[in-house]
Amino acid sequence: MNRYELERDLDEWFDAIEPRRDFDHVLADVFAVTRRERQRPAPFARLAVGQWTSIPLVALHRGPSLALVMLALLLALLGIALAAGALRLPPPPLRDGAIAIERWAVPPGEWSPGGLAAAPRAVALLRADGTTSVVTPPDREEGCAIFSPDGSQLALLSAPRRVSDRSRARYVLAVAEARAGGTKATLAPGFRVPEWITPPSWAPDGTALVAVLQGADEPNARAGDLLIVPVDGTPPRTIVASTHVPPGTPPVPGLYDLQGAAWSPDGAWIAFRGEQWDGEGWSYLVAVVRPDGSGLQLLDTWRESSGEWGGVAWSPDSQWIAYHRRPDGNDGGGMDLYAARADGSAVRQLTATTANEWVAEWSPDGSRIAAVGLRGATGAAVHVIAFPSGAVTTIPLAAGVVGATWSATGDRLVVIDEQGQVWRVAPDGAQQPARVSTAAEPLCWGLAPALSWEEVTP
Amino acid sequence: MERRAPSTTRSFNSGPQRHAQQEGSMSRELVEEAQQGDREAFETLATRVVRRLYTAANAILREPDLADDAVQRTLIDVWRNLRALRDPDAFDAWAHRILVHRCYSAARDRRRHAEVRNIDLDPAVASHERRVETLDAIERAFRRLTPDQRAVLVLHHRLGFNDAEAGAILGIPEGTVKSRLNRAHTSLRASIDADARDVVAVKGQTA
Repeated sequence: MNRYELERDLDEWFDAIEPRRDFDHVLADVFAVTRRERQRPAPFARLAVGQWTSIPLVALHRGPSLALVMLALLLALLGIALAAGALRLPPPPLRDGAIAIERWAVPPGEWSPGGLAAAPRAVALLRADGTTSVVTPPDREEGCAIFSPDGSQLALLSAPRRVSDRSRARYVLAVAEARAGGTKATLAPGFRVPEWITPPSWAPDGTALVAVLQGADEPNARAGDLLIVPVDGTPPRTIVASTHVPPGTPPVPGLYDLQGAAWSPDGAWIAFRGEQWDGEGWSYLVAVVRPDGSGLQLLDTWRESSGEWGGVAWSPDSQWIAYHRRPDGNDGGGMDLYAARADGSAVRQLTATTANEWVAEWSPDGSRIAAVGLRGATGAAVHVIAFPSGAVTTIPLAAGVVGATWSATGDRLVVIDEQGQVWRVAPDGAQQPARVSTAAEPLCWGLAPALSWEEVTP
Repeated sequence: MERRAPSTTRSFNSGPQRHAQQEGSMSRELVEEAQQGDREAFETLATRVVRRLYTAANAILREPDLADDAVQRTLIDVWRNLRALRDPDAFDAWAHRILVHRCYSAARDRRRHAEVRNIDLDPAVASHERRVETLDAIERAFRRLTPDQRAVLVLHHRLGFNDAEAGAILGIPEGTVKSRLNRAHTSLRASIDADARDVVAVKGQTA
């Protein structure tokens, strides 16, 4: 049973158990109680500012013990505030450039009545001086930003901001000047982004992107083709087509759910993930293809999976592709890290842990792979995996880690946790992670913000 | 230096919104009136939300009587604590948070039932024997899930809350919602596949 079939059956089952009755007796019992009872008063926290002065009076009215508790509480809060002020040290600045993140365009406390469903997302840059600048103009919402190889541009997915219904937004691939901000050019205007979004990937020379896009009339929300999209505005071309079947119809043999395309550093190959229906069952795959669409080769396939999505990471010498998957026979276990030779000659399982290792990025010298740990058996952590030995160094953090990237020298990692805080991490685990962001950013995606490191600031 | 695509997929359009913003949506004015002690407003509110709450409770508990009880307790809690709700626009999520906690309590308190009952299907839905078998398999698999796995599936798949909203209701980070959802899917699939293997084995023995 594949994901589509499971979700379809689940929907049908929910329909089948949908209550077909009235709830008069339920409500009658409730109202019989509530008509006898008054509501509880609002807690103190809801008092308006001007009403805070009444708290001591309320406390005294309730009795001396409550007044003493309130007094002790106030003194404790005062002490904590003083201690925090005296001990607070300025966080070290980010000296290595900027990080592109995806955050709420409007803080959660200021959302419109449409609530979270209508809350727009925006791309912002966390800069070396600790400041944040928002790239996305006010009339759009954007995400999945990736720096160009020279750090001057950002490729991102962009849509008009719709306050009423974000699910109907039609995202397009766009390129923006990283420094000036604002969308400068829309690429592939006749296409849009499938529901399962993966960030685009730049060609090493910065002249094109590879992305999974779909035609505007494609009825299947998840179907998308692998396209090469030139930055000069010339039309995109398909290099791998996914199998298009209308939602709810039986699959036919072919490739589905293409995602996570990544251009090799030498520019010769593009690696991607996907699913395959062979007529009897589903399998998941990592494959490579030439940028001209030739040479398609499956490097690894496996059947044990659920929610198998994500990306792949090329080694700096373009010889290996790291990716995460579940080992066969371990459907309920953790996600482990694998590496496949780009020529298809070898596949290595690098880790076999109970934690989840999600591939993030290869170190500049190719000797290590950073993998982010969500909340697996070993908790929130960044894992550094030696290649090819597979030795794992786990560096725990307080909150789930959603993305990691290496410094150019490979002597440290910059990590973002799910609370939007940025940390500097020693890959050997010799030092405690140091927080380098001045404040948590309201990240809107808890799993992996778009993360790049602009290597242009000294 | 080369930048490669980060390793993760995002869905801007995550989660069906088909129910969340429609039948369960409560007008701000109505909530505010109920917060002021207006019983009529509360009763209107309760009447509007009761089916949606029951849908969630019934799916999580799979016992109609327990679901009724959880919904009743939830609505009484809502009435008693409505003034503590700071943001009237968050009423729907807040009410579901209370409901989920009530369901967890009910699941803890009840004795575990070893038997698995066949699902009562609407004839119009269950018009085909194979579909009935499939839905029975889903039912059996769903009953094997833990209450928190059931809750995340119901909130996400049935009620259309997206990951952040479901996280707020369940009191867990958005990333944990994803992993819990993933695990629930995995468990469902594993149970269904195991059942299918058992059926094949039994048929093989009886053939």
